[in-house]
Parts: sequence; structure tokens; C-alpha cells
Amino acid sequence: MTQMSRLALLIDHDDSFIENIKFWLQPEFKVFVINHAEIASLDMKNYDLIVFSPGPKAPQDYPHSLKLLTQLEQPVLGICLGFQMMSVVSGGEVETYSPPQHGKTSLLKAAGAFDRLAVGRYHSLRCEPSDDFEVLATSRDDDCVMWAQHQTKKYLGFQFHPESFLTESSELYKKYILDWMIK
Amino acid sequence: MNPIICFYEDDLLIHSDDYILVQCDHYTDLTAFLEKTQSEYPTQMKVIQVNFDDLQKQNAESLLENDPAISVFILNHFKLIDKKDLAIPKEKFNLNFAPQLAKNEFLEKVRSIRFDIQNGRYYQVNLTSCFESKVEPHSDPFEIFKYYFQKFNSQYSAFLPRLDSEILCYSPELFLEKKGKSILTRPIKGTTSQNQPFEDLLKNTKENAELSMIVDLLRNDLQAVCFEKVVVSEHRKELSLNYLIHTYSEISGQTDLFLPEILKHMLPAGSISGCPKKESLKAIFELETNHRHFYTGCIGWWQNDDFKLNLAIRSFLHSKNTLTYFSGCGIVYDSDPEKEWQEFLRKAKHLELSHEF
Repeated sequence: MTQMSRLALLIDHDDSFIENIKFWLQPEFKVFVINHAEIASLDMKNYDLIVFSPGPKAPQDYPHSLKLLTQLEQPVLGICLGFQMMSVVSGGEVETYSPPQHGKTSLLKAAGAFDRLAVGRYHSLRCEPSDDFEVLATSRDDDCVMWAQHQTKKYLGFQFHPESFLTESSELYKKYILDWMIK
Repeated sequence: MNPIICFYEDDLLIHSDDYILVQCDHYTDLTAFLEKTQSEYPTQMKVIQVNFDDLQKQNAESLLENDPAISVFILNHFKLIDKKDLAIPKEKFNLNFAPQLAKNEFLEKVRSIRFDIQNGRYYQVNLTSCFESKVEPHSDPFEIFKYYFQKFNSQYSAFLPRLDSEILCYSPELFLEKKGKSILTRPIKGTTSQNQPFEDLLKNTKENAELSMIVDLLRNDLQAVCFEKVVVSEHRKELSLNYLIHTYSEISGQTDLFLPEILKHMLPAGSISGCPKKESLKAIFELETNHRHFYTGCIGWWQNDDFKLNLAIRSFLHSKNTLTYFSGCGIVYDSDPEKEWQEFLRKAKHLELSHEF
């Protein structure tokens, strides 16, 4: 697979950070954006990666996205709301989290180079993923799951926003994604 | 006829009394109107004013019968004058402002926004309302403009005489500046009173988060018109006014697009809507009972392919012997309703209020 040939489809849940995510994924991915309301009309099989975007409200407000998530065969990246959707379809819990963490930063508790990196957060719901997920990072200040991957399905979820300017060393996560895709 | 005044660079103001006014109603495509204006008057200096939103809501109380979505003043002649050349009026104005939203209603709206935020609906909403005063029929709105010009001492002021109303704008906020291919935006969020140390504002996590989310939002919006990755060129810098201290940030990039396309992607501006933008705009339409009109739209100059637009805040509308001043606050989960009310009033500090609120 050459660099230029990697295609990512970014499903937009009426979010305001879509361009930021697109430019974060470039140039390693060529990114196409589609609104969540239009996913039924698109053939997804040509994309190497599907990204479920952040967005307002909660996973159950997007039943068509939840359904699609269970049908996909290629690697799927979930950011914030997208990660919460992964958690819901895998039997995990998503609950209200107070106080909400909007525009705030935390340090990660993680292995290796990711440990103590600052990440930008935008969430008022908290994920408690099922045991099918391996937790890759939690927040040091309030012990929320920040980053996790499914052990059998090709799901990689971020509760924080890797594309935010508040997130340190965002290239490292992209490198991780590229390695994870071919594993 | 009253002149038109608009900020230019540094202490210089555009002054013109020889202009043509072209307007766009709410039924015409705004981008098509701007493209036509661009092709008909490419090199003339233009002063442009765009309303907050062309979606006029049905249930809102309108102050105006004729409220064009866009007004463009094509200047046949103009001169640049220094700020200090605007003489202080000798006239005294008998003004008596009262908020149009009762304190308890304002507090209730802040609480309902916090409830929505907790439920994940959005992260921030800009809540606005207004103050009104009667104006004596013989009062000249340009004289009133000069009166408040001295008081606000703002960087992005403008006086726009429209067909049956005038705009008196004292904005401290730069929405967009484009020179050649370079473009930047400078959102303001985070506020404290002018007698508090700036360090306290820097340490405040609520004020910090309020600005950070708008920076991410404006990175996104500016990125939509830029071909290379945009950068946060300034973050949490001090903006000291004589009535408040703010923090602001700056995001800059390179664009190949022109004003009509750029505004199509970037309006309504992020710092006066909220985040995520689409959902926060829906909330604004549910929460606010008055029209914003020009308020939180933008005003500025446009010549060739360059332009400089403010965010039309800290502003008055003069119409039918009434002066209306608009004010608003960014509401986040950590907002204390009482403190937001105080901020709403502080932004109206230069007004003659009818009594203490």
C-alpha cells in the first residue's frame, strides 16, 4: 500500500472539527467527508479507514451510524462520540460525566512515548468500554478512559481529540494508526 | 447627509460622504450578491456590513421593518482621518437604558444552557440580549456615535447610515483580515473586570477552556478556506479595554479564495455562535427572543481582494428614535449564572442605565 493510495472516509456527525480532523490525517490519508445522514447512499468498501467523527448529543441519537458500525469490515477510528458509539455496540457503558470536560486538557497515563502527553478533551459523557477493549490510556487527573482498542474487531477509539491544538504530539497517534491498520 | 465612518489601519478611519448603497435582501443568494458586487466594483473602496444570520426567525421581535441581509457602501470618494479628528460633541444626550431581558430570565437561560451542555448537546453557546433607550427626535445619530466613540475607544469602530437606521459600532474584535493570500482571525473569549490582574484571567480554567474551544472551532472554519494547515499564531494574549480585560488568540493561514466564498464558509462567526456551531445556532434560535440584526455579523472594508472585517459586537442600532445596545456572553458548563449576568452588564458599562441592575 503506497501512501497516496490510503483512502479514509470521515463520517461527519454535524461536528465543527471536521476540517481539523481532515488536515490531521493528511497527507498519509486522502480524506473524503460524508454527513451521517447520507451514509446509506455510499458504497464503503473502497475505503481503507472509516472515521466516526465527534459531534453533539449521544450515540443513541445516531441509530444509522450505530448500525453501520457493526457492518464494517475495514479498520474504524472513533473520535469522542465515535468512540462512545464503538463502546455502545460492543456492550460497554456510556454515561453522563460531570463536570463536562470541554476545551480542557489532561495528561495521559499510558505506555511509552504516550505517557504524560497533554490531550484536548470535549466530552460530557464517559465511556466504560467492555472487556473486549484494551485500554491504551486513561487521564491522570480523573481516570477516564481516553484511548482504547478492540481486541478482536478493528476498532480504535479516542475519547480525547487528537486533532485539537490542545493535544501534544498528534503525529504520534497517526503513526500508531498506520501501524495498527496493517497488524 | 451623514458620513460613513469605518476603521482602516491603526488610528486611521475611512471617512466618506460620497457613496452608493447597495443592499441584498433575505431572498437573494448572499454569495451570488457578493460575487456580483465584486465583479461590478472590483477596485473601489467598499464598506460592507453583513447581518448575523439571513434566517430571520418568525417568532422573534424585530426592531426593523427593512433589515437587509447585506449592505455594501461603494465609496466614490473617501479620505483617511485620524481618530482624534472626530470632535467630541458638545451636545448632551438624554439617554436612559434598560435591559430588555429581566435578570431572572437571563439566569434561567444560562441554567438551561448548562443543562444542555451536561447532556452533550453542545460545549458553548453565545447568549445575547439588548438594552434600549429612547432618543430625543432631534438628536443626530452621528453626534451620538462620536459621543460613544470617545468612551469605548475601540479599535474597530464604524458608523453606518443605512436607509432607515444607523449602526454605531465599537468592536474590539477582528473577525477576518486578508492581505494578498494571507488571512487571519483573532477571536476574543475570556473576560475579567479591568481592575483584576491579568494573571488571574490566565489562571482561570473556565475562561481558558472558553477560548480554547473557540480556537479549535476557528481553526476548523479557517481551514475550510485555506490550502495549507492553519496555525495558532497567538494564544491567550491580553486585550485591555477601559471597561474590561479579555484574552484573545490568533489563527492564520493562506487562501486562494475571495471574500464571497470565504464568508460563505465562515459565517456566522464561531466566537458569537458557539460550538459545535450547527447545534449552538439551533439553541440560539430557541433561546433568544430578539433579532440580532447586524449584531454579531461583521463590518469592515473591502478593496480589490483585500479586506478587514470586525465582529459587530459592542454596538448600537439607531432606529425610530430608539437606541438599542446589544451585549452577550459565551456560556459554558462552568459558567456561574450570576457572574455571566455581571459580565453582560459590564459590557454595557458605558451606557447610561436607568437604575442599578
